[in-house]
Amino acid sequence: MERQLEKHLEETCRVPGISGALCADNNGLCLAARGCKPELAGHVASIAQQAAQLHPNSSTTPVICIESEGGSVLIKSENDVTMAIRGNSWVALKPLCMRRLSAIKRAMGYTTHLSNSLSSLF
Amino acid sequence: MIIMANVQGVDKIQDSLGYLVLTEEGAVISSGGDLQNAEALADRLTKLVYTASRIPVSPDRRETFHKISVIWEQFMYVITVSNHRIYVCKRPYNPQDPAVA
Repeated sequence: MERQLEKHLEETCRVPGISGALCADNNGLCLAARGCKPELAGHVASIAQQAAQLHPNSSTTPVICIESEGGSVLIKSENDVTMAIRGNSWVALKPLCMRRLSAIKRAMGYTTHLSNSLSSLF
Repeated sequence: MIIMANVQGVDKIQDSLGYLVLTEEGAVISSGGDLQNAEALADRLTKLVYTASRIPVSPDRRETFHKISVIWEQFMYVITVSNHRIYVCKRPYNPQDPAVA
C-alpha cells in the first residue's frame, strides 16, 4: 500500500511547478512525503483540523491555501487523509490537488467515489 | 476615528460578508457583518494563523505567508497579518472554473 501512495506522490511532484507533496493521517503521522520534511505532517494535520472546527456543522471540509511571494501550499483533508501540495501558484495546483487526493484515497483503500464535495475544492 | 483607523478598510471590501480585526493574541478589535462579535471564531482563527506560520511556504525559510484562504463551498475566509493585527474577511466563493469529477 505504501508503494502505491509513494508512486502517487512521485507523480504529483513531477508536475511542473510542484515542489513537494505530503500525506498525513488524523494524528499527524506522516504517511508519505516528497520534497517536504516529514516533520511537517503534524502541522499540516493540525491546520486541517483547526480549519474544519471553524464550522464544525459543515458537511464538507475546507481547502486551506497558504500563499506567499515564493509559492503556495494547498491543504485538503478527506476522510482520514490530509494532503498538502506545495507549488508556485495555487491556481495551477487546484485541479491537481483534486485528482491526487482522489487517487491517494484509492491507494489507501478508501472505496468512496469522488464526491461532489471535492468539486467544491475550487 | 481611532476605531475606524484600526479597521484599515477591511470593512469596505467589495462583496464582503463580514470582517474581523484581531490583535496578535486574538482579541477582537473590530468586527462586522456575519462575524460581528464572533469571539469563539476569532479564537480559532488566531490558532490557525499561528499554525500556518510554522509551515514553510517557500524554500526561503525567512519568508512567511502573506495570505491564508480557507475555502468552503459557498464562502471563504481570507486572512492576512499586518502591523501586529490579524485581518479576516468573509467573502462569497465563486469559482470561475469549478473542477468537475
